[in-house]
Amino acid sequence: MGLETGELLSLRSWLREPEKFSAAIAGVLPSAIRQRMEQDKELEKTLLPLIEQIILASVRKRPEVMADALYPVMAPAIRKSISMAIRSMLERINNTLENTFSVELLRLRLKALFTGKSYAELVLARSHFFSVKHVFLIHKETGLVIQQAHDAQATFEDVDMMTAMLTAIQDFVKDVFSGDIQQGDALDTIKIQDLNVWIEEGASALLVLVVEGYIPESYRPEFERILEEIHLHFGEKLRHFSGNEDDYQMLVPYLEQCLLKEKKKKKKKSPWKLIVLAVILAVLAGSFLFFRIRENRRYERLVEQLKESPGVVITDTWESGGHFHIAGLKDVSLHSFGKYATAQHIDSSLLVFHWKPYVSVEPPFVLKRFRKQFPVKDIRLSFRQGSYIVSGAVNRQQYDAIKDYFEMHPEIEKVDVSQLKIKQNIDFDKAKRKIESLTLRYKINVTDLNEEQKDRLNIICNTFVYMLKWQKEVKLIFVTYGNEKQNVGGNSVIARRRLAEIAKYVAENYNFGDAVQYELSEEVEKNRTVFPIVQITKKEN
Amino acid sequence: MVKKKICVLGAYSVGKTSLIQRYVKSIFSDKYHTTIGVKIDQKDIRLHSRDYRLILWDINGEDEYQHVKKNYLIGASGYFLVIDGTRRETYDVVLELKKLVDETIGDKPFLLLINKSDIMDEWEIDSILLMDMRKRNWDIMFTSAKSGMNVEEAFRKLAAKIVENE
Repeated sequence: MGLETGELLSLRSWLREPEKFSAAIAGVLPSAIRQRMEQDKELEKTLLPLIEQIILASVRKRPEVMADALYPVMAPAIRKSISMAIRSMLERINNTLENTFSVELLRLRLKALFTGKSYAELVLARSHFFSVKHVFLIHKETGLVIQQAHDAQATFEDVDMMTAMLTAIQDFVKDVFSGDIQQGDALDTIKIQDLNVWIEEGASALLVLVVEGYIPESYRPEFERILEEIHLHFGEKLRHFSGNEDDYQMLVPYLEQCLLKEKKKKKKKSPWKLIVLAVILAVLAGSFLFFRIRENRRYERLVEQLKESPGVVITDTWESGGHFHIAGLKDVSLHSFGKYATAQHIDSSLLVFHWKPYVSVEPPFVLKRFRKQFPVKDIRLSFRQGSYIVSGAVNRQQYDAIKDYFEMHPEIEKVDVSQLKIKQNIDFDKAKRKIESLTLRYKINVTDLNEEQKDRLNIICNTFVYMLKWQKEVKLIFVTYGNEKQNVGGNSVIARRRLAEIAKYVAENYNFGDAVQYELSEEVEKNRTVFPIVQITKKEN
Repeated sequence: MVKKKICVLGAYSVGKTSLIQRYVKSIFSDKYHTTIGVKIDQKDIRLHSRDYRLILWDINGEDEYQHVKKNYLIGASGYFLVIDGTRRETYDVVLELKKLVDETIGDKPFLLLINKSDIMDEWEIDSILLMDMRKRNWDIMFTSAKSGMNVEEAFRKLAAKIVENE
């Protein structure tokens, strides 16, 4: 054994006397703890529950001691938290005011105008309240990137140069404002148009977030917490940054937690706006319906009126291209229907008629057409109890013409012409008397016509022509007589010759046909005379 | 891909920006120099079958009106100190800057670049001064932004020193 007896006795005394033994252990304990901590985490694991229990017991037993101890730490933290909460609240108020007056939307419009980007694109970009595009963990001393994370679309080049410059700027700001800012404060926000750069400062590293859009201050504690967590677990490693990002891959999940994105919450629509909108819509819809219904009623009334109108048959109605169309049959005598449209307060330019012409057999039209055909006062047509009654006094020709008219219009049924009278023609009688007064006298044994007789004969014939126009059923008879006292036979021969001469002359000059007859009378009346006699052969109705 | 922060330091108008402008990827304008005092560029190289991305912090020249912000130095894995061979006073500025860097980020790999090596006849840097530099055990490279001399090599050499240092 290498130990001497004295040393062994000394060791035994340490073991038997706890105070002495403790004093000996106390001498090496700090060194032993340090060595073990460097060796592995076992000591930390062992002591942690114990320390936690001790702290818990201490807080329960004497909370004021712990409060006093934590005061220097807690007070600034609470102060910072309160100031951040107020800042966040003010931001929210500002944001609400901005959005209420739609200044933001106007701004986007102007931006779209000046940048050439589409308005929709900008609105889409703003549809996220914010989006953390890129996160850097930067070594505070060197300004080099320890590790980074970014969202799928974001790409940055030359990040090391940028982060180095960022730290330089931060140092510069610290130096320039060293008199105005408190210890520990630093540049924490940089704003470039819609891009916000947030800088959280830890003991060894900066957490830098590149944020698109507006990010509320209330998120800062979350990022601070992540940075603190990184320092808690990797503080030593951060202090001695090797310059190699690959050695710090384990930090990526922490940084990815910072890639937050928040969609813009849909603002609650002000109910009064909805109400006003609803009222306006209701009024518009109501007005539209009212005018629509009124217009339809007017059209319906117009159609009804047209249907009731004589000489009109409506077959179809429809609307197209803002116009109202009416199709049907219209009596040829009818012209415009503008007065109907005006009566119904309808703009006649909106009416389109599709008429087919036809002849109406309705009594007014029959009567109208008859009057047009026979515009004579003495001829009247009336419609009574389903029959047409013709009345008045007409001459023979008119009588025939009226009869012909109704024969040519079989659609006009039940025609009564019994009240139509043929009026007595004064001229006819006068002519008859005139003819019969123009007797032809002959000298003894003369049968040829002398010039005077021919003139008389011409007057007779011309008058008869005129009479024939009035009355077809009339005959002109030339009558002469033989002398029975003397040579009856001889006289008859002369009489016949005289009639033959007359017949010859009439036939040569006129075309009367059977209307002129020649008779030799047996009755003794007057000698050497030929009598023209007009005879009506048919009795008038 | 391993990324490293590299600072480029030197007095005003020593050609820092010109030195790297032709050989790096740049997305920021020079106006950042005059506004925030730094401009960030990037240089990708392959070394020992591995890809490296050098993020170059081209820090505005130190002069009586503008001081280098210490914050810009923090986190650098290495740095370039640039002087203008034709202006001796730029070496004095570099000495100040080296002290500032050491105080701020401690001992880190670096290279001293003596620029405008294409016009050595106009140099104010003499052998005595070069001796002083050597005595400090600094790695020195003669570069020319105009001809491109040693520029690419300088990046590779500094990257190699950084990798070696880790």
